[in-house]
Amino acid sequence: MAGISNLLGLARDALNAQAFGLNVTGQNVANANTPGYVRRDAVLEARVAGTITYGGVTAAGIHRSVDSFLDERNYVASSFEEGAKSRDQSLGAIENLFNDTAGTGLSGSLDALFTSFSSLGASPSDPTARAVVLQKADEFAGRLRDTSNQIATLRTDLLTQSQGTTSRINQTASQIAKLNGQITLTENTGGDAADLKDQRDKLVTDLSGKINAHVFTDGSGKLVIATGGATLVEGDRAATLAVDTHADGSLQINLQRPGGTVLDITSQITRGSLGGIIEARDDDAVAMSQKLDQFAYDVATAVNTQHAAGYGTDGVNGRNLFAIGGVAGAAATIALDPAMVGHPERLAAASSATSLPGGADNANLLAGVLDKPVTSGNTRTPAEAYSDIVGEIGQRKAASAQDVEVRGAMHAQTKAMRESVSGVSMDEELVSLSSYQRAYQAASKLLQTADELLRTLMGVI
Amino acid sequence: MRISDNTRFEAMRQSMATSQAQYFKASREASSGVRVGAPSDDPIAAAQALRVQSAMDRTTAYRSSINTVRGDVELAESSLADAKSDLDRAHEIALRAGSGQMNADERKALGIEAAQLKEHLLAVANTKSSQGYLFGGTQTAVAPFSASGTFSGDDLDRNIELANGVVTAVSTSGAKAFTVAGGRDVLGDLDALVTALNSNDQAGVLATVNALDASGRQILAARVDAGLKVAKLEAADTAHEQTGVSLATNQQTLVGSDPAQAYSRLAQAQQGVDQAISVSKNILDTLRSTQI
Repeated sequence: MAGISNLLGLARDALNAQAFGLNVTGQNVANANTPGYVRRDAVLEARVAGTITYGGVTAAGIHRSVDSFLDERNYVASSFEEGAKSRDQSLGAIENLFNDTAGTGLSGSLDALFTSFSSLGASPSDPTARAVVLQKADEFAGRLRDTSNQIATLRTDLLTQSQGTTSRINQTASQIAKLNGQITLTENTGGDAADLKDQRDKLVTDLSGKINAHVFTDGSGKLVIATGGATLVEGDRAATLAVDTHADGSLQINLQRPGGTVLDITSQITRGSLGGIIEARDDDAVAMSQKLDQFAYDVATAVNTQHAAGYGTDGVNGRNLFAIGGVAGAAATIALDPAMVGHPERLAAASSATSLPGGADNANLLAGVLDKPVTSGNTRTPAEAYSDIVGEIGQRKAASAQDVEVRGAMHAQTKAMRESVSGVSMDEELVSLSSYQRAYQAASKLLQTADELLRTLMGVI
Repeated sequence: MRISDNTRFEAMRQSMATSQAQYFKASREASSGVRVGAPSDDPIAAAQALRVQSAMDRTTAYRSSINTVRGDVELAESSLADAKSDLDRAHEIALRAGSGQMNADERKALGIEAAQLKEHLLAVANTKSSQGYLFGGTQTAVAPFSASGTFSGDDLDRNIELANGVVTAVSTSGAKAFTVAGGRDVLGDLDALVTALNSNDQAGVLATVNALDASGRQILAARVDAGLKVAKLEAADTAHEQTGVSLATNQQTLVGSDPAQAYSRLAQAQQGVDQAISVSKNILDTLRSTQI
């Protein structure tokens, strides 16, 4: 009789095991589009009953199809792509300022200043020509201030953005640490932590998009996430990031481990959207701002020197046209000299007091200054120097757009590779579904057969 | 490689997004006629285009200055032509009145005409233009010659920048045209004629003949100088006009798009979108047939 009972046991085990397989297949089908979901396989094993050959089957658990090497590559690619995207976005905003058709039109106003000097040269005693020079000079200074202020505003916006990003990083890191704790607890008590691990992988992917995250498991099996040389998450403990600024106004990202000291890790954040923000704010924007300052200083100084050499119709010389301080912040502060505001007669068109009021040699020289190499260490004319600035921002933006494309393609590739291991394929699942279904039907038939055998036997008795 | 469903959908999304982006860029270029809409489209061309634009603006500014002063230089030339005919007439009067056949009354009548000629010449020497008095040098605010013929102007040039680094005088020197700075005091010579005629001084009249001739040549020289200035301005204007045209062509080459190429790129991009759509449709159809 032991044979038929065994058959019943086998049928029970088979039904349980195939139902488990159907259940796992169902999970895969249900989560085919769930971000971060890792394909699962039902692990079926022969049931071992001591030294007797029993022949039963048991569902030993779930296997998550992961390849931690591919996952790590995907995290790295994601942080590169997000970093490139975030920098590209900011560079787009800076580029717009220097796009002469849509930006602040600095090049146009520089040319207009030249034209006004040239007109003053032709009509030195015409009050309108004099008023136009003052207006164009004021406009030129205004455009410089506007461009410089907009770069400064962008830097402030990026500071705010970095604070938002940092706070999301902190939130994500703390969630990961919490999940780490739950996973350890679940696994220690013999449970299955597949869902928790999926959730954690999704959060690590999010985190790697925001900051460069090196993910690995330490000797004791704890998941560690490091940024640069500093540890952001270690097991169930997460450090926190805070944004501050250095003395020169650049961003300072501080990391504080629970109960530990504060560490400045700014230089180590090179990827992720935070890395992109830091690069755009403290490299690109600063470089463009400094170039604009130098340009403003050089042009204003050269014009002032020439203007001071000439005489206003009141016979006075030595006046500046622009009020300007040092090179640093020159573009933000340049203005029409207060002594010139509302005094077109003080414009020094004549080169000597004796040639007043019809002399215009100094006005011609003022126009000439804008065609002389007075900028960039006396090597470029103002128009050339400005075109160099535009060329540089264009080059930076073009390179970053290219970077976005390349990094995007690389990320798509690592995603596809990760998907090839961890992604759900409906075709496969449908095959699995049929396979478990058929096996379940066969197990039912087995049960039915055993039942009939038993019934027959009972009838005989 | 094992292909998951997500990989298939992601690939579809990617190819659609890429082809749509290319189509958008191509259609923007074809419709606007601009190849470089932002510096990053072609940084080198964008920077160069700015320099070309700046050169075009310079050309416009130089032409505008030339046109501002050209009227004055032309006025100076025609004024000096008037002055020359005044002196020619005075010279003629001196020759006629210098002959012994004329009596005192006839000389007096010619003296009235000569006095009128002097008045006219004074008015010519004090001609005012849009930029002030023409013949006062840089002293454009006050009439350079007083009623008595005293010159209060200067002999300084009024210059404009004709082209980058090329400065040229656009004023005609009143000092050289009308005063001893040019060799003869023209108004003084006329005065001498009037005085000699009024006092019926035949020898005095004869003495002015050569002086008036020299004065006439002095005015003529000034007129020629003004005429040369007009020609110089015109030549510069024409040169700037031609430069402007070639700069505009250069600008178009740098940032503009060639219509034929733009449309061919647009057609190509459109084909790319069509292909992406049809491939995606095909993949979806395959998925549907195997899974439903």
